Amino acid sequence: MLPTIKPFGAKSIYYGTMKENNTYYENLGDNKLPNSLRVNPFIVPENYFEKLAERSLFFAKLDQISDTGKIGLSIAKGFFEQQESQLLGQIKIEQYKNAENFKVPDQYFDQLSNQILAQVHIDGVKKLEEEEVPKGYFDNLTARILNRIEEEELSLEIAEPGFTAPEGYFEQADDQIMASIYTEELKSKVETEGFEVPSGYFEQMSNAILEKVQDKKVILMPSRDESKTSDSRKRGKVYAWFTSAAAACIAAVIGVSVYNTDNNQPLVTEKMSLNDIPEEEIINYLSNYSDASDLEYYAEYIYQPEESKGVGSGIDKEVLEDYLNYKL
Amino acid sequence: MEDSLIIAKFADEKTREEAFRLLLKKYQQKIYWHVRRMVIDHDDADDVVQDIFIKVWRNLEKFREDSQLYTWLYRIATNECITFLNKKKQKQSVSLDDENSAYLADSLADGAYFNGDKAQLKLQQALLTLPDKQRLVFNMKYFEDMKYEEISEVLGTSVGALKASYHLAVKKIENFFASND
Repeated sequence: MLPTIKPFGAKSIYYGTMKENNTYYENLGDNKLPNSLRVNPFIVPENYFEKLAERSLFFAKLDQISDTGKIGLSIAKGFFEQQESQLLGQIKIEQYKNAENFKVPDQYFDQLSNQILAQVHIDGVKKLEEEEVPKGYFDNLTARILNRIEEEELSLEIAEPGFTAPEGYFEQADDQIMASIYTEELKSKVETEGFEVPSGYFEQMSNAILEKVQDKKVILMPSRDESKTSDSRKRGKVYAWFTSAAAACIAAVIGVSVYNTDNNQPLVTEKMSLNDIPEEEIINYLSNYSDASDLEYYAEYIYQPEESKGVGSGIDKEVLEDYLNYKL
Repeated sequence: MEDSLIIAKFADEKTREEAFRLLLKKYQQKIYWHVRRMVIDHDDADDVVQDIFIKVWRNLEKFREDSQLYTWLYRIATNECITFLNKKKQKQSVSLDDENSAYLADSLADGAYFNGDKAQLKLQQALLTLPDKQRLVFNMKYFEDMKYEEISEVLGTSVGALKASYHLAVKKIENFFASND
């Protein structure tokens, strides 16, 4: 505890030195002292009274502070309890500062971190050992160790797997990887191509193909879905052939053209069988399946005699003109 | 149904038609889409697919099982597509060695049976900047998810060449998308 500061008593300071001057005693009456004796022998220091009020206020404030508050002068709890040990610690530090003859073994500090880490590791292992091992761990341990040894031996015997990469593989690999990356990116944007088919198309197609293959006299004439064909296909509907001469001519052209245009060399028997087909059947077939674009195709042969020698030569010019006038 | 069973049934005159129906059921859609992606127009695809299956009918008896049936079918389909496209080029007086497939642009613009969104249309337009054979490789890899080895069997081209072709196709498509964004 700090000692309480007491104000100074005014009397103790000025008691002996104070002199009264020009003091007036009202009750003395006639016994008034001569003026020479009526001089106050006491004096006060210069400006005493001027400073008195100020001084009194100061002491009053000081007194108030010491009594109530210790405001601004308080100390932390337990300060004095700790002060002693702090002082002793400080003394020891000072002593150690002065002692210069402490030494550590050579490379002590170099090894210290390793030693600490080793200790930590040992503690970790100790902790692990204390934990339980999985059920059946030791039953399999021997087999696993033996397997491991075998594996090691095998890897020593056969170090390389023996695979080889195709020539130029690694030169192409970058390009391939980039292509794969972009493909994936593209697939996230465009998964399908957006094409569609008419409803029930595949069922109809099966039937159409079966119809064609069941007929031994297959002529490669396309069937068309008129409702959805492109403009070039819409130019002509099926034509009825009205002259047997023109039909025979066109049938012959088909025979030749099928033979000439088929790169896969149709069988001779197929070409021969066309000759055996009655004219009427050919006419019926063509009237059902051919269209304007086919007519253009046949016309190419009719007007190019070097490619189809003799074709159309037997047709009466007038009949042909009539036919073309009718059709075109 | 197993391909081998279909082939066995086809060999017997009595079950030939049944076998062919099974074959159609199993493969007609795959073949159609393979062709459609190449010829673009539905009617053209329809024509080509019918020709393909008529050829299959004629030649299936001669098929030897040293390759897979679907590879054999794809090979016929691919040959028919190329033949058809070459004829189309000739009709349009386009060189057979043309470096793109722009001659099919009208078929795509026609829009019949094409219900794709903007991105799908853009991809088709990008594909028409490729030569037919590159387009073929791209389609088989991208849309049909075929392995290079399978494509190699169908086209008779080495795997290395196919990889290079696919990479080039992808690069061109990437550039097309970048310049048309």
